[in-house]
Amino acid sequence: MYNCYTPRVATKTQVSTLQTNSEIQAQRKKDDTGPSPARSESFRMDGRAYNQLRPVFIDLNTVSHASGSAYLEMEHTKVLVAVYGPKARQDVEFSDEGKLICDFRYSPFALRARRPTGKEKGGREGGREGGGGGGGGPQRDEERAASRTVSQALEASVQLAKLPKSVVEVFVLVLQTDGGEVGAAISCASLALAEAGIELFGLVASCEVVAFTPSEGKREWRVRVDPTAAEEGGEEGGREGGKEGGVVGLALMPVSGEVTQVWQKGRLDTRGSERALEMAADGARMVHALMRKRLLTYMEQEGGGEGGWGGLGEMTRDDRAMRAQDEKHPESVDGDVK
Amino acid sequence: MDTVPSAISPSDSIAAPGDRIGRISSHQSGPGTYIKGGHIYASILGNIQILQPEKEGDLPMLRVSNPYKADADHAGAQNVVLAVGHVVTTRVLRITSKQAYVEILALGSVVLRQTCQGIIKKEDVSDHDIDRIEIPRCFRPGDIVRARVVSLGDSRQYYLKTAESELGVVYARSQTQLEEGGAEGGGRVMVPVSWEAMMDPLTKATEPRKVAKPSAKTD
Repeated sequence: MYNCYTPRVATKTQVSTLQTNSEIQAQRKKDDTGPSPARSESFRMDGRAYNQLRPVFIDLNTVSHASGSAYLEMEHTKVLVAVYGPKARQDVEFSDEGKLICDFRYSPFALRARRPTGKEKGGREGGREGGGGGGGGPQRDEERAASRTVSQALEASVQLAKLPKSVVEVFVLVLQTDGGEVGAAISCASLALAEAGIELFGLVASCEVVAFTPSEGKREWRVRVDPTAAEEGGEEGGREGGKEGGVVGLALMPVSGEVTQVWQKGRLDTRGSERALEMAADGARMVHALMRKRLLTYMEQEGGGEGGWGGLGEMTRDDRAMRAQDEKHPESVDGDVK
Repeated sequence: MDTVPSAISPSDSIAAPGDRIGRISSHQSGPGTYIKGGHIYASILGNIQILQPEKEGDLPMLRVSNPYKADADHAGAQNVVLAVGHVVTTRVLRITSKQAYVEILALGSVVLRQTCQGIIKKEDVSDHDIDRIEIPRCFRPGDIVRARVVSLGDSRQYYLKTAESELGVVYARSQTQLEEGGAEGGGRVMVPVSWEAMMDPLTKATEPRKVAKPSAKTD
């Protein structure tokens, strides 16, 4: 299920190109031997090309009690983020800047393919590791690390100077993961912050890329954007028995061009890293375009829904529509509006 | 510098955070926007509005606002960040000889989702007769006080003042217990008689308070 369409991107001047699903289909039809011969990358297990993102589904204001929330799905990876705040900060003496706190948890049923327990891929079984795994118990190491990754990725985008003595809490819950959950969490959290009305410099979008070399001596790196769990890890499937490789994640705020976070698992040399990072940056820009479009559509169609009122008295849809009409002036804006 | 994709869709008057919406050479930056490198960008998701300038020669102001999310202009329970100069509505929790401890309930018409603590020091209660001010003759626990934020204070509380004629006690109940056993506050709601006293309308007994000057418009 998806409600965001991968937009067309000008590909001519870019090193790595990301194509829409329809372009790939058209190319396949034209060219029976398969994908672009220049790359000679075989298709992936789920039929995507090496530079094709998974279809994205975004829902906003999913957790209506929170200040803001978003839900993001990339096929089988499903992430839910709720944002609370800004609220008064109790822990320190006066601070003139706000603080962003992130709590990243896996749900008990979010198992990933490459757990050492040796269960099969998909993450649909009801088993859990350690009593009270996600949500309830203390954070596991990877959850703590992911919390740090996500909060650092988002910090640069929040106008913290406008939130003295305040804290903004970001709660991430991975409902199901099939690879790319940290990247998805970052993008989803950025949407939740925007939905909450917290003042931002811009949106942060994220993308992960797996890079591997099929044989050790050659140093010819192959990259695949938005890898599934199977493609991320292990010697089977996506890596085609590659000896060396790793997954690189990148979070980008396109408004300023800032890369707000980079993380890597595995082993890559500089060339592989470079290729992977470039592709991840392109992917992040595409995700950003999807996120932005979805926010605008949401604002236009549904407005704030019931979430913005904290249960203290609901406006009817008509009241809200009337108020929205009053607020919107159809004056044309300066030509800079793009 | 990377720029945002070219289409603003579906409607030109909605902006997402980070969208570039104007130039500082032709507009002022209003609430919901920020300035960077000579351009004005949206800080929040909302409708873009152009406000005509109040003074001649000023530039029109670009503003982004979301009517569904409460801010200082829209009512509703929300998390608003207090700033110096804001006038807030508070309830007195306890008093000492030197200061009054209050709980900040609302900013204008925005009820805070989570109350904060504030302090009104003896020196900040009134702008005349400072030496003779006694806190128990200005505030009592349970009073509702309108005050202005003086400083963001420390982690525990904000610092507030009532040293203006429009600030001070706006609602208080008298000491006298009602016959029927009464509500929590005890006595009857008092009416203001001067800047330093309020009166129980039935018993006519007055009690000292630092009273806010009643204004015609509701806030």
